[in-house]
Amino acid sequence: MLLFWVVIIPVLAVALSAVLPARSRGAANLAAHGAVFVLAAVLACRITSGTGVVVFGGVLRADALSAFFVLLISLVNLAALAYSRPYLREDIRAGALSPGQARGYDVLFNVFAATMLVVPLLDNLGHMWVAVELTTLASAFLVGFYNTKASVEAAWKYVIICSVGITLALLGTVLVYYAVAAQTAVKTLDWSVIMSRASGLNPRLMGVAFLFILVGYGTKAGLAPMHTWLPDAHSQALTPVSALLSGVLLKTSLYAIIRFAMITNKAMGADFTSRLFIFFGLFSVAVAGIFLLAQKDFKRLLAYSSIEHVGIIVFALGVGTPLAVFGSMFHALNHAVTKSLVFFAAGNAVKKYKTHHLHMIHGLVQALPFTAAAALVGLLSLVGMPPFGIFMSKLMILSACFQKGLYAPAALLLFFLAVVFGALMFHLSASIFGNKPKGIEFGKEALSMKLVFVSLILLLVFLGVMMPTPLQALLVSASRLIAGEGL
Amino acid sequence: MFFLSQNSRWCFDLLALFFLGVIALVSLPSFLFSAGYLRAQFSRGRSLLATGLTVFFVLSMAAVVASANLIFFLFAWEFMSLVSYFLVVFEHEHEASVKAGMIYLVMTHVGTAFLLAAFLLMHAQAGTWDFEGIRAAAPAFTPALKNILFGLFLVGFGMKAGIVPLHIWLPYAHPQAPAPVSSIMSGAMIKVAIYGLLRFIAGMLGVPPVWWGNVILVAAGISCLVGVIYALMEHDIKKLLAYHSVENIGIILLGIGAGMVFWSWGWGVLAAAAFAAGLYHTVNHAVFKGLLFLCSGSIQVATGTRDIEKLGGLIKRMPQTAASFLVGAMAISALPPLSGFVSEWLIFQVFFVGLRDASSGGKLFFAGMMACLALTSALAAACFVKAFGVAFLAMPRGRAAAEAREASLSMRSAMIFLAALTVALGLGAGLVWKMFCAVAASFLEPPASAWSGLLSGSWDLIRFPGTDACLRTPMIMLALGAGIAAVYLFVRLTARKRVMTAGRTWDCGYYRLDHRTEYTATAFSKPFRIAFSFFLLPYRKTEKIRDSFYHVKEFTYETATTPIFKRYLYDPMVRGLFKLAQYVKGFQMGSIHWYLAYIFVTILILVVIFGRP
Amino acid sequence: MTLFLLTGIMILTYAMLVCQRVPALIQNFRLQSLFLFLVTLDFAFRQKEAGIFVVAGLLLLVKVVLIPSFLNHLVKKIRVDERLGLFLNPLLSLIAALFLTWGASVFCSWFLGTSPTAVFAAFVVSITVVLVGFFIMVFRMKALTQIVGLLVMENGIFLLASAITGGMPFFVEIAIAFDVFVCAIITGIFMYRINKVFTHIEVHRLTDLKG
Repeated sequence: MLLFWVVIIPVLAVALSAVLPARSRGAANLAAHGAVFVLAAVLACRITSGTGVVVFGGVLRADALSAFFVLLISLVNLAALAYSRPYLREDIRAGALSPGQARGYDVLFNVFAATMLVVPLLDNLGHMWVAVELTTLASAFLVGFYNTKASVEAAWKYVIICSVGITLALLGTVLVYYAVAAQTAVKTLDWSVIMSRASGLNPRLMGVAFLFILVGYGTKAGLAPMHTWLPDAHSQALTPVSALLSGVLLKTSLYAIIRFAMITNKAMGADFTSRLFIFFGLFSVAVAGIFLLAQKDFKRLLAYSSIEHVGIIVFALGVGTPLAVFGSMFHALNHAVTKSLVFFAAGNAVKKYKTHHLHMIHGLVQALPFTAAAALVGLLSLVGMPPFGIFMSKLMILSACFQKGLYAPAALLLFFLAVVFGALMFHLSASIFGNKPKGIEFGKEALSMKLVFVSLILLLVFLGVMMPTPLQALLVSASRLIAGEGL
Repeated sequence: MFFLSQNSRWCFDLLALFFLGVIALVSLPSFLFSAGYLRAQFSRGRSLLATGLTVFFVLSMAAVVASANLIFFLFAWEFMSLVSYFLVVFEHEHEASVKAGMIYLVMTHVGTAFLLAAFLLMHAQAGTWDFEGIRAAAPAFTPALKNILFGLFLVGFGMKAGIVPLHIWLPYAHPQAPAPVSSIMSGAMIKVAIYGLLRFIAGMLGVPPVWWGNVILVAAGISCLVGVIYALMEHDIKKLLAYHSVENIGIILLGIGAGMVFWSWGWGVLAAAAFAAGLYHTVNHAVFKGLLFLCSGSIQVATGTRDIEKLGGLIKRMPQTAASFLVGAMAISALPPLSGFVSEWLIFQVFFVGLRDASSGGKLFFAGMMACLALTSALAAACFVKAFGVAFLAMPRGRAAAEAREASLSMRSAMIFLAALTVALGLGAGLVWKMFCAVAASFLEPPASAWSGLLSGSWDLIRFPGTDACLRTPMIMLALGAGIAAVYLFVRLTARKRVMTAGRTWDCGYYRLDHRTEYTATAFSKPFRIAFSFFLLPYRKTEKIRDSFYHVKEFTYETATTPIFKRYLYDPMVRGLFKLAQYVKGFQMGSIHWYLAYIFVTILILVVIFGRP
Repeated sequence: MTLFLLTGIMILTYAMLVCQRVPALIQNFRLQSLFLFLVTLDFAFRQKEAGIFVVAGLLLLVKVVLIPSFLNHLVKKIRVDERLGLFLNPLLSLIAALFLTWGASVFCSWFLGTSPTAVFAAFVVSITVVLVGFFIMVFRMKALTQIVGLLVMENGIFLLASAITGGMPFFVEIAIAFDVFVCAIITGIFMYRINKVFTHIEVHRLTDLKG
């Protein structure tokens, strides 16, 4: 029943947003997403303390991995919603947005959130595919929200490239179905059933199927060289939507890849997926690092940083030991929180300076001190400085890498991460510090926005310094599932 | 598992206590100083922020030194770098500060990456994050692993300490930070890197192969010379002091490197003495460099500039600052009976012993190192003659210097305290030396009987083991004092009463001599610029503006030296990276057809590689 | 019967590559979907399962009737230039398609051996359709061709699923059909918006976002 409510509440929120007037609409949305977050936490507790699986009907199924992702998605949804209210209010006041458009935004936001929340809860791989494709379609309008040339171009590239990727993933799904049907005489796409019979599947067929899945869902996840839509879409979208895209949409596609990887690992041993993950992970970090050096647009810079972090997560999945997988899931959580924080700060900065161009944004600390502090914290967290969370998850991943004896990949990763560090510090320290240009005046942010910043910063510090036992239990179960010691 | 609460282990052995003492000795006067300094430079809110950041900075340094767990060490280390970054960019309205901060943070982060690799390698082998566990597992490391760890540690800690060629962040970052912070950074933070070297290389990896000590000695020698030669050319007083830090780190590492060589040859007592000499110079440098930076801060508050070419005559207007600076300058130039003299004397003794007892190749090597050290201290003395003379003596070269006022009480008391400490460290050398020998012994562990010789003797005597050399600084002080008193009395007694009239100094017939005819710092350092021109690669630009062929109205002269490490090592690397980035940017050219083609080619290649039966 | 229908699909796929006009392309797609419907119907008769009949009907409704008429309606509304911009002329495209077919047959032989059964033929045809769909997305200039390319790829995958696995589970098929429909509508709306903002739908000229 819990799962049902998690899925239904956002749908109800869609209906409510279409109907209610502006003031109660905001409160209703916050209440809805807050409720979903609480339900996700309850689900996580129930799964770690109980049997490990919760089902509803024959359709929804949640294990530790799903619960973690649902928790992650609902957290970032809540943060993005809390941020978008003051953000849009400013736009409406300035006349850039009409109240009807704001209503449309709320509706689309809830549709997007609903499609994302349902992906980790579906057992059937075909249904999961449909849900992932629906997330693309739902977010397309949010990317192209403003009818400028750049947004429409970005939205078109986003829809087409992601749909091509998803179509390849469908091909992979069909091949998996074929493997299952041919080997086990049970024609099903239910993940739980497939996992229980996975050891008998034809290894070569599963390997090729996994290739299609990796390239296909990897397009949506932002792995290089299929990442080309990412910088455009994330930089042109509305800021809270950019945070959602960077923070959770990429992770949702990674979730799909992980599910298939678990099947493939059982069918043909972990080496195959491991080598692929390590290659694509390192390649993504390298591509992100080198492109970061040449960036001139603030939000594009952050988009490439997302590619880098997805590369790290995938690399960690490739290392494959339980510690590495724990680190990769933890990194997913840390990155979602950090990226939201930085995007929100960037959104404020871009709105104040009325430009995306990095060279024209300087002296943020004099124009918007609170936002500058948040941007600084977010930047330092993104590059992996303590006391923030990403430092710890990077430490875990690298430690697992050294423990497994993968010295060359670890050295390469350290080198690429150093390049990324240099590039991000180079661009963003010039933006945050310095003197502000003459035309920009000192401004203050809304209280609710400050609250969002402060809570995200506190969460980051908290995650970097200690880990609460329930979260640790959840991550441990999830990582055991993936690394194949559970189930 | 990974987090701080599970990984807080503390270790307060002698080495840690020593470095904690160094940190305290530098930080406390600096806090006292900053009370006056910050009030004079910044608004109340910003002063509070600076003070808070400095407190965090000192606490994180203390945490690094006191930690006994790899994760905690790393956390505290990175945190220390982060807070010091904030302090370097504190005056962010100046672009130079922001640029300096970025160079500093990127370089220190690269150094930390090397440390991270080393720590993770150790953890992978030893299975634990605690220092004790690693020390227990260390003998089982293969020699290849130990060599790799040595290299990683040397680069990682060397980046923070300022060993050439990893030093280029130092002359950027130390001048830009506020003066009390610069004194802590130069006095304590780079010593924390020395602590790291001692703790991990000497304290964990056990008896080293000879080449480790040799590498450290060579790097140290190069750092000494490079540091002091660049310092000679600098006219920004804080940049000058920053380069001197590079030089002094070199001297410290000369002691430590020699110690490692002796240790690998099995001369336990001599190795301990060499390490103790290095530690002695650590404390000395912390104190007098801290003092000198505080003086530079006082000058900056009084005159608003750091350029010594615009100063002059400050000894009359700021006598206490001048006196403190003089004490610091004498100490850093190794004049007896101050602390700098004692530590350099000790390091010379170390090399003498090495020269006497080593085999032929070693003899030559140690002779070379000794020559290095001798040249360095001579050049350091020259540099401080320039610094003190141009900044404090003669007439003021600008209005700011002419109107300078003495520093406030908090600033003065901090400087005088450190100056007194310098003198005390020199006079009480015997006592201090015995303490440091005990510290060195704590992590070297030669048999107990060997120590008695080192630690015996009266409080004022330093007896260098293995030789008959000994030093009694109070005696030197008394002798100097007696000599000066004797000369003074003699003059007073034998000179007749005479009338003295005051008149103008003969000035070759000009009406008025002013500051423009004074010796400039550039002119003072010109002989050195010429002598070392093969290294400094100076260039000059002159411009004449003529009224007619015979009448030159204006003459402009500009000279500069080439920072060779930056120009030939770092700049090409950075430029190459940016050029690569511009080239690779062409792959994201905006055409959706190409983007789709990338996906197609990817899946094609993957299927062809992995799909065939 | 199946082989005849498969040959028809193959010919129509090749014909798509030599199309030079937008209405012709849409018509081609409609015919291909019709043949696909016939294949599914034939399959349904042989399997005698109600579910497959429903799927076939849905295929007919969505891909033969609704989507092509939606696309035609959009084309008329946008008043798009009928010429389909080609990066690769029809002859070269056909030769490329030959290579794609060869590649598809090699791929299939890795999994099914080289026995020339109907299943093998269907496998090869379906992979060829997918590859050709990809091809027309990459080598044609207009936004509309990218939409059609996507739909052609979906056709190919549907054919693959029917050929080697006997069709995906029922609810999955329903969901996929719904999804394809929504995708076509949304991409169509975006094409309309592109035309409104840029006054053309040549996506190869949309290169403002670089680097």
